[in-house]
Amino acid sequence: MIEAPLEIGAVASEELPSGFIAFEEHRLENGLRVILHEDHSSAVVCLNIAYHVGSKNESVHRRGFAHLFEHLLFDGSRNVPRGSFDVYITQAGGNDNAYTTEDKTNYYEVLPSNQLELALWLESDRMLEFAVSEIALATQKQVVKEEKRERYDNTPYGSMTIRMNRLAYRTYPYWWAVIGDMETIDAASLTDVRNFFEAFYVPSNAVLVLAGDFDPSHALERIRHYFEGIPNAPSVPIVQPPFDEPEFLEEQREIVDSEPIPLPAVFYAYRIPSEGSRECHALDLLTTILSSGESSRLYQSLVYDLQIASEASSFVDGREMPGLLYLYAVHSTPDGGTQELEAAIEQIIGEVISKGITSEELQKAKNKTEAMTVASRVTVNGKADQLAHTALMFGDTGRVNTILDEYNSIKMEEIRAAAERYLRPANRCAVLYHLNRALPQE
Amino acid sequence: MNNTVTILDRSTPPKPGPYPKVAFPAFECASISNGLDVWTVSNHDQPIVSLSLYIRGGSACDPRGREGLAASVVDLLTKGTHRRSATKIADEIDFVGGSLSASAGWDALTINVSVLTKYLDVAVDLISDVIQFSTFPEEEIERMRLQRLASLRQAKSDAGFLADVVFSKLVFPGHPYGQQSGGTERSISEITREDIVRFAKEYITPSDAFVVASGDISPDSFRKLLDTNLSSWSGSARKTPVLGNAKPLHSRKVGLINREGAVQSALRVGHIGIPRNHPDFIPLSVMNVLLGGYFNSRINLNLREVHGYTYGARSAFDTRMAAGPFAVSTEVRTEVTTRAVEEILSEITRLTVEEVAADELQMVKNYMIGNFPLQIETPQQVAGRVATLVLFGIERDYWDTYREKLSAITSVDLYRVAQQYLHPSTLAIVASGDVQALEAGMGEFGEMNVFNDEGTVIERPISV
Repeated sequence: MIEAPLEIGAVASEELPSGFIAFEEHRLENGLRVILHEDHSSAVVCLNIAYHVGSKNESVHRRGFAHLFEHLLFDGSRNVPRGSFDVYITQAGGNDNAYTTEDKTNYYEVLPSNQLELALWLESDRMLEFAVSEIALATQKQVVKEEKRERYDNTPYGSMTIRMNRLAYRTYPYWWAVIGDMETIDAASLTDVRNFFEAFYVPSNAVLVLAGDFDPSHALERIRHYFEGIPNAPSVPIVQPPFDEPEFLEEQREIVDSEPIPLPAVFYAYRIPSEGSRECHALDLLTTILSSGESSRLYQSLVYDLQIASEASSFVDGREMPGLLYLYAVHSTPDGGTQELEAAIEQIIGEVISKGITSEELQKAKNKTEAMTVASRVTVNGKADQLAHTALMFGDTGRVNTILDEYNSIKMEEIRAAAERYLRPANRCAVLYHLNRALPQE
Repeated sequence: MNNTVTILDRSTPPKPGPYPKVAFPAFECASISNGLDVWTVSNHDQPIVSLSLYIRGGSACDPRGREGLAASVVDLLTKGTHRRSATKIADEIDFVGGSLSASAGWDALTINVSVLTKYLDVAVDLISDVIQFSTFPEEEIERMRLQRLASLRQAKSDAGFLADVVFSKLVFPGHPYGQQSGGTERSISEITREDIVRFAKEYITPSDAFVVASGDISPDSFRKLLDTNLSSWSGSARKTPVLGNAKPLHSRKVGLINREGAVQSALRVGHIGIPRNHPDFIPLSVMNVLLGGYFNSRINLNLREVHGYTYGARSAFDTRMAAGPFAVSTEVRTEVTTRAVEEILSEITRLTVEEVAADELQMVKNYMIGNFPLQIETPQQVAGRVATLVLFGIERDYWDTYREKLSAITSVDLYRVAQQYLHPSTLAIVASGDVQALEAGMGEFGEMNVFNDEGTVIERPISV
């Protein structure tokens, strides 16, 4: 029994917009949203499942748990013993992986198209019932702690995002980094694992996307076969914590001189509106103007003309709730000071606020956004990820095909106004890295 | 429907459907009027084109004392021509949302552009300008020098980079592959404009170059576009000389690089491998995947899943024009470094003393054969594989029969290549980490030296 899909992502005109992704969307009885994108250009399928749970949903005493849980979900479900998930996938010639953000946890498998059903079996089994053992929990704690050491503790500037989140949020559960802390990772118990699973890993809290080489009506029938019987019984209603932090009244600043780093560096983060908002689009285009390519403002000034930076960049870390616009510069010499980097950055931002941007810059940023969007939609996994993200974060999957129009409608004045509104010193968090002469020279 | 679902038997995995027909996508080659070969892979799925120009002779051609010269030359290609300043070049490619970059590999320089189809002419005009008419202005050379020195400083604070440098030194003494392709602080400081101009004049020539383009193109009109822009490109009739292999080690060498107080050690364990164009490449690839080439490999399962020493561990044969390195790489916490090395050595040794069970080999073959469609999903991936054939002189139907060749590999083949190409008693072991915590244990493995972050041996009293 297959009813008409809820939504068909098709347009009437013959000229499809750049990067267009045709899709159909359904909702199973248990609340699971299913999105299908048919693409026969290669014999590959991608199953991508996003759960609406991230580090902002974990307990303050279990910081890092959502990500630890992501590791554990590869470590045993009712019919798939510990260690065999990856064996099944690799045996089929597939790749699998997962990632956790502040807002969501995403799992995917890419397989030769004849192995579609294997992916459905594996993902439905772990949505149905996990079966994590003490030994798996103990091992994955070690693995996650090694991941933290490798990426955050043993890498120059690796502590930056941890420090920045701490500065940029006072009470909202964005104040810790997704990786969490050694002690709170260690504190996780099997009871925590069960509670978290029962609270968040339910069909109505997930979006399932299938993209690639399959027949949609057959695939939908198979998806129903494996997923529709999974009960939707969240132990408590899922509420995303509402954002209730007031604006900062003054800059938050931290100077780090106790870590081994090769060159002094300045990192700024400004709190900005949620991902998908018009102002967030405007600021995203602004970061492209500021730092994408060697003709960008930051590169031209700090790296090329003044030669005080070896790199300078900016980007939007868009989130479901107010996220961050990062802007940073690494000095070109160990003897250089962070003051001159800050002064140069200040001048560039001041110019944007006082004089705005040029129409040529805006067009360049829009062209770049179009090219990046197309390039990110070349693989089935790229397309599936964007469908899942759009469905989960915006609730409206169709925006995957209108987002470029949204960007293209942004006007020069909107960018200037957003810069004035958000790139103020009082709305800024700064983490400065200074060389510590007492430490061994790196 | 619910009733049927609740009694669904989930206990066994579903059977796969019939294997999809996967042919390696068609590609073609034709020359333009100056003799340059142009290989094309057409795919109109997305309105985007990638183009790579390969020029043989890369960092392996850096003269001694001028390490990083090839890399410096390609940095400067896009930094000014007779017609355009560096800023103008950046403006033009950025305006159309494209990317233009150049890099130096060991065996070739490559210049890459990626651009939406509607702006392809802009990209071809730029690439044609930068390979023919670069001016290498002094002030851009000084900028490049400052940038390279800063990135070297950054790299030297990375444990993995330092381990790679010392590992290459130990495995390739006196050979170009033992040099630092990104240069050293000293070599970068000493490179002159004359070095750069001479290298560019000698190497950047169509006589030993080719183009591979992929994506939304039609081969005929694409070649016409190239011909219009590149027919005037000429240069020396140079052919890149053949690079010989380095000599294998005769004993175990241990190298340590100090990072005081480091919480992890970056480990590299291995020795010389084989060139890309080697008849045993396929059986060795299968052996490597089993050893450390995928998530379920022996080394990753041992170090990550059984012991929890690491976030990940892998092995690879980096195959080049001449024999490149074979290396196991991982980052492990300081206190388990010695034990991790023991586990790595024991996994390498095990392959040389016992045949792999048929089912374990079958798992690897299933993975490699099944994974092939995923590796040729995008036009750019296909183009990369075509470039491999051209660059290393491999037969044109190589990828058409690739899965059959994988399928034919047996445990006997694996045992033979393991015994022939793995040498657990004559390899290099390098750890970049807290030397004080590491030296006693690591010294047990062989002749040990401590290196500074320039990759030179530090003379120091032997600790007992």
